Amino acid sequence: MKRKFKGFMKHLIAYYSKRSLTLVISMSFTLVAVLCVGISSVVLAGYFSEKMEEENALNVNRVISQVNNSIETYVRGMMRISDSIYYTAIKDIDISKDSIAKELNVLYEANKDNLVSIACYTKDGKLVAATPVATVKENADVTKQGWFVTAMNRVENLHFSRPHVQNLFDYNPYRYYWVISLSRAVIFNDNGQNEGGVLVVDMNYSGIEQVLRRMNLDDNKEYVYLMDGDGNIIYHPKHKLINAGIMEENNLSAAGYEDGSHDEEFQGEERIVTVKTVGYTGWKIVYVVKRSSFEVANTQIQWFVLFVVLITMILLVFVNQFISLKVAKPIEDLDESVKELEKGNLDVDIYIGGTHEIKHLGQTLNTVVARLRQLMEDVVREQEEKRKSELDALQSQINPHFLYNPLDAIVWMIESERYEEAIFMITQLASLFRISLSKGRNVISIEDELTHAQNYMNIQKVRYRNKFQVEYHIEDSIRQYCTVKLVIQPILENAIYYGMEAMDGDGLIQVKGFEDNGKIQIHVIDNGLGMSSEQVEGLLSGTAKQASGKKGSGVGLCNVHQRIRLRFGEEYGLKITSVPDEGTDVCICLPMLTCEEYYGKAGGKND
Amino acid sequence: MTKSMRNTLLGGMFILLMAFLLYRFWGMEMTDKRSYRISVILEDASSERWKLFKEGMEQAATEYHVELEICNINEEDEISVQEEIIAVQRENRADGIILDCADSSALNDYVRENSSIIPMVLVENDINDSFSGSYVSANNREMGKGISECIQKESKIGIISGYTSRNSNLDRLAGFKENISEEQIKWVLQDTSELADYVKRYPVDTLVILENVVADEFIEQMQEKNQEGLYRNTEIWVIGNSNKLVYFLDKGMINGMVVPNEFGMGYKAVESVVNIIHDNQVRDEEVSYTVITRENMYDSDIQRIIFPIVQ
Repeated sequence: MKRKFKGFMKHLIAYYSKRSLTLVISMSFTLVAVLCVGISSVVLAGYFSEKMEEENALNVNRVISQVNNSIETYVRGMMRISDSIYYTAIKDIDISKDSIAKELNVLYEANKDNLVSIACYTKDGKLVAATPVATVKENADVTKQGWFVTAMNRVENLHFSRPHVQNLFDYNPYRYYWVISLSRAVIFNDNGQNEGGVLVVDMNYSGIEQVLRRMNLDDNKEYVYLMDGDGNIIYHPKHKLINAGIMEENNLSAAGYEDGSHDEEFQGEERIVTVKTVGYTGWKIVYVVKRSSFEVANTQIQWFVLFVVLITMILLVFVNQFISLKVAKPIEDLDESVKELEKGNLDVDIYIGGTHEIKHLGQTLNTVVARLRQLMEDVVREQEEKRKSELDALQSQINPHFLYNPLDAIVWMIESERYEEAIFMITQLASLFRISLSKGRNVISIEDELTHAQNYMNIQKVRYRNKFQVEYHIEDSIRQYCTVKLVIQPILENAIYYGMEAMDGDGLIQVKGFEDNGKIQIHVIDNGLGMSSEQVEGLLSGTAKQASGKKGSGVGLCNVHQRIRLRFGEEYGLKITSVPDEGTDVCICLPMLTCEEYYGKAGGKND
Repeated sequence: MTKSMRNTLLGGMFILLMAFLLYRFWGMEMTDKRSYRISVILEDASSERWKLFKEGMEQAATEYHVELEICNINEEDEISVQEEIIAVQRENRADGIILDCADSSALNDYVRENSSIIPMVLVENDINDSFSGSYVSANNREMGKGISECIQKESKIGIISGYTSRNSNLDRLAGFKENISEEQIKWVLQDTSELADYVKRYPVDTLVILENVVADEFIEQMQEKNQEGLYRNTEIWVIGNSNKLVYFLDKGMINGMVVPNEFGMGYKAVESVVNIIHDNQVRDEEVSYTVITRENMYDSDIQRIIFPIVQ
């Protein structure tokens, strides 16, 4: 596993290092940003969640305090009424002589919004006084009422009953009141005798119900209810559901809770139950918050945080992309320039831009390239000059060779007093030299070259005493075009030395010139001994001379071939076709270029 | 991949991501607040006998985010009119229908066919055939039987069954007869129009009223015509719950009531429709009933059933 991880990391780093600068910068920035935003968001989500729970706890306490204050105010009000009746009415009069109904009625009228009835009974359950209705139901037996029994059993206290339907008096038909009975034991003065009894103040249950209903929203997630100390529910927002058996409440367990917050699980649901005991009554306010409400809110917060994080991340990706592009673009452009340089393109326009450092790099590189370009041009020029000097050297190799044989022949003619022939030879020689010089130009017209060749052949014919015949078949149209000078003469020389020497008067050399496919072709064809293909290759490579061991110009066809190619390019030059015992055809291939065109194109540099 | 393609792809992904997150974030709140519209079609919908039933429905409607639309069907309405009311509710794009079937036989085919088109819950009255919806009611047969168990042996009995076009009344009657011999039952009426004559001509010891609306009519008739004396020596038992019935029970003019859990029935009716809409979960629900007499009516458990909690 560890090895796999290492391998993966290695692969990742290798991949990463091959990526572009933009990607590297962008990814690095993004990674750092994502880490920062991620950590911040986790911290924030936790913080919000904690804050939410704290806020909720504060809210619960606030609600409970409000409910407690309202209920205590209400209860104290009822207790004050009970005290007033007892201490101002009941204690001061003799019930055998006076009635307390008037006092009861006054107090009832002052508080009737919160009261249903006030009644006073003897310990036997006989009605002493009641307000506002004094018609007792025929089947009503107060001694069996819970509030009566409790008051008689615990005479020292005030007692609050559970909510119940008031069933002592006849009200309007079909009208029943839910009440909470506040009862207490009282002592009457009955004709000078102290008699026990019970005072009951029936508080309208709706007063309590309204207080608690205000605090309960239509929300299943949290609610507040009220119960007595034994866990009997006094008010519950879902009391109808509980009565109908549809819902259950954990009130009996909550009755055992101390004041404060408690975690509990009820019917598979985790809840926070906050309990507060109401003064005077022993009732308990219970605030229930289902933990699922936090979970929903937490999930919403988490989604919101995720939403913000992702937006931030995406924006960061774009911003990082933009910044990295800004930073890396000049470097990449410079890199592109260098790549072009690497391809050998010295004419590339080196990028100069971006920050100061990169601009400086570009400028320096540009200077280097300019210097390199200059150096390259110098090298090329030097090479060209060297090439020309080599050419000239080749050219100069021919001249002494020409001088030797004709002068030998002329000497021989003069010695044998053949002056006319000597004059002819000298004339031909003069013409030959004139063309050879050609005012120092190395490229001359084909017309001049042919004249030069004819001069040479005339000289050689004298020397060889007409051992061979020469025929010229030259198209007039090609005479105007140019050629490197002294290219036909060496070929003719070779034809004589290698082809004609062995012939005995029936040797024939044909010189043909014509245009073919946009090129000039001049063929020197002899019917001499011919050569093998190896000999032909040796002629053009310059090795034939040593192999044959015959005398010749010392230059050979190789020189001619190189000179033409140097001047006009690789596609031109000599092409030799030879068949042993049949003869040899040397073809000179030249461009269709006049001297004017040649010198014009070369810009006067060729010579 | 060209730069423009990459940017387009990134942009597209960005928009999709945002759309997804918005859907999740806002969708969560929307889900909580998603509401349904349920039509409730009741016979004599404004009658007091539906009061607790409506409270139960409203309680469930609050919890399940349901909007209720209550429509009335009268006994006198032609069946075609009743069918049209159901059809209108269906076409008004109600998400579900709660129906008190005014005439179980006549609406049999119509309900059976429509219950497969729209979530439907029948309350109190079912139809003769099986259908694709749920049925929520107290056990009518058991309620009838429950009354019979409270009646003194050998007493002569007159019955007001309510309209027998309602299966609930037939079931209650059948349940009542299970423990009572035929000889004891002197007469059976569907309504109260001839009741006084029957009581005079064929005196009975016990009067049993098996239907809430008829029981209320009986109370009204007795008050209007001062007929209390006519029934002074007659033991009266009813199935139903209303302020008047409770008052008369309290006064001792009625001996006992069998009270179905109307609040639970309303709550479970709405819950059943929501279950069908949500999960296509069709399940009949039976609610409880309570036998209440003058002696136990102020017991803490009982008074919570028969007295509305806030006056």
